[in-house]
Amino acid sequence: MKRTKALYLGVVLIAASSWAQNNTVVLKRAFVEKYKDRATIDATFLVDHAHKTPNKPAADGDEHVAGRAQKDVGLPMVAEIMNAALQGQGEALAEVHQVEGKNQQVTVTGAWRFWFEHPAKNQVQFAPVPVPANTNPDHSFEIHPITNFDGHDVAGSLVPVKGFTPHEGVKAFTAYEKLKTTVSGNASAVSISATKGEFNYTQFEITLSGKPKKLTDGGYVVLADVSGEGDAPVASGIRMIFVPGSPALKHLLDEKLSTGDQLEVIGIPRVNLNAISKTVQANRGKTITGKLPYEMIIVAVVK
Amino acid sequence: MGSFPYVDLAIGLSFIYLLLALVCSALNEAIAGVLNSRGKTLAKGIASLLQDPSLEKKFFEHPLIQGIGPAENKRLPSYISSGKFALALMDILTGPGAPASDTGALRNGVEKLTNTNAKTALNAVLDNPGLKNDQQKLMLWYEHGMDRVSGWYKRSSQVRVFVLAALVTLALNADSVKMLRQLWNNPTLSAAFVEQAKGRLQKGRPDEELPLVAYDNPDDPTASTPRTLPERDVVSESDKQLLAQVAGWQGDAYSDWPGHADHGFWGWLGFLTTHRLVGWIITILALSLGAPFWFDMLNKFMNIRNAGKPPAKDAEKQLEGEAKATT
Repeated sequence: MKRTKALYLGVVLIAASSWAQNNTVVLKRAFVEKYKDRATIDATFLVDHAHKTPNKPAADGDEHVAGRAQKDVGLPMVAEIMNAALQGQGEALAEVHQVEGKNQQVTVTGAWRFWFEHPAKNQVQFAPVPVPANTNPDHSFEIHPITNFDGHDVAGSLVPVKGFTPHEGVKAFTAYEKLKTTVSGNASAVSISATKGEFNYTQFEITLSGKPKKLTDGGYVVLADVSGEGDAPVASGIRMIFVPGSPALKHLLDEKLSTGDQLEVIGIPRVNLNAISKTVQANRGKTITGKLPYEMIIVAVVK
Repeated sequence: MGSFPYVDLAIGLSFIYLLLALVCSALNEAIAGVLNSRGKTLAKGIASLLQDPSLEKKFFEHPLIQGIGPAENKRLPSYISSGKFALALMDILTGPGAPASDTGALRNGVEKLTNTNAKTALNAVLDNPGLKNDQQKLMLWYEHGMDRVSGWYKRSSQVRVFVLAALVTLALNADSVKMLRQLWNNPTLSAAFVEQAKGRLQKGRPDEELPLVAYDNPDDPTASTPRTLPERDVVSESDKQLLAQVAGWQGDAYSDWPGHADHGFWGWLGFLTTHRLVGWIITILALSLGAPFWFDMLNKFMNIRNAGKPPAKDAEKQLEGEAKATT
């Protein structure tokens, strides 16, 4: 019997070592509950580093800002202004550089984005966040895209970036659908492990599978299927998040879009905290492994 | 043995192979992670595309690429998107004085390359008349190259899985012939394997994860329903106990071998070679086919078993009643 036990101890070690390849973030349960059905976050933010000029349109046109929001986010993070070179973003951009590295608090509103794109091995929310060394520290949290930077409304920047080619929808969603996660939690914390996620800006076609629903911050969420190469969708029942004040949300409401309507959009993936919350609630104390639940922040309507 | 002894036997054996293949793939993933095999294969693929060591060096030192890998150990990134590849390369070739999107500077940069192979390859890519945009041309070139890299990785992974299959087979003394005999001679054990296999099938294909929640009401995207997810551990406690009844060294270990006092170690090795070798080879070949293959086989055998099941008595009565009513 001892021999058999020894053999299977090896099996357990193997399983443990395979999970060690993942990146883990521990979030406060209260944070998950607060943001699970919100499009955006309001944060008091310190700008530590910012790109001198926005990325070229061919790269994505974003202005990258690394900083800290210890009280509201408590994780290494960046914030990004979309289409930062567009006319109308100048004041916000000037403000970014004015407060950069001066330890001066500003208020930032934008879509929260928890995603394993630039992850560190392990991060625990609300542990002291170190001052980032550059504009792109290891992070799993972003305010992306920003809709308001210290009073400067930049929600109008959520439109397609001229000169930028987003990722192709079927390819990106095939990859999103393969991401897996391990989730465990209790009343105070939620641990989420996942492999690295890719495909930031993706252009894809959706068919709404239900009516849009208003979120507590004025954003909207709607379930949709994402068109695949054939008749079958590449992904089904995905939450599409429309950001308050964005041209995409205006289009959704003005056109009174609902079940069966189709749209071509550009979106950014983020972890679906609504699904995480429900999973933890239903499996308190247990470790659950499954497909990484994700939703798309709709940053532009193409047609 | 149940009503379908041969099918039950096939289910039992497929289930054993599935469990052992899962152990092999977990080991393979762990080794690939430690050795950074994906990163190394990707680097090899990029080197074969660029064909110029100095350009390759500049590429991996570019901030766009440096920023991808984890900063703490400077491992090679295991994935580089086609967009990042094209941008980094354009930025290197155009040089510090010009924007990456400057077509003229890009062509000049290519012309300045000292390596003729790299120059010829990049000129051919940039002269592609099918696409207008230089970035798209480079992205397409990279994507085609990466298809080849995936093939390399798959092949090296298959070799590793074969070696691991041999190690797992020997470590667990998983002799297919012996296991088959045990299942055939012990109907209770065979039935236990069939029952356990049913549970494993519900856990889904090994390479596919199940969603954590479902949104049952399409008009309420905030009301998610949790799915009852089975545990996805490599081998569960009950799987281990069952497996221990057909595999393992008990009875076959040197000290267990009845003739060890007379024939010694070499005699024991001879006994193993003549009695176990064929069974081991069959197991090694089976495990090399991978866990998804055995999951699909298990599913097929289970479907055959379910399709051939004689109807229950109540159902038979109901059918008879319906037949009478229609005549």
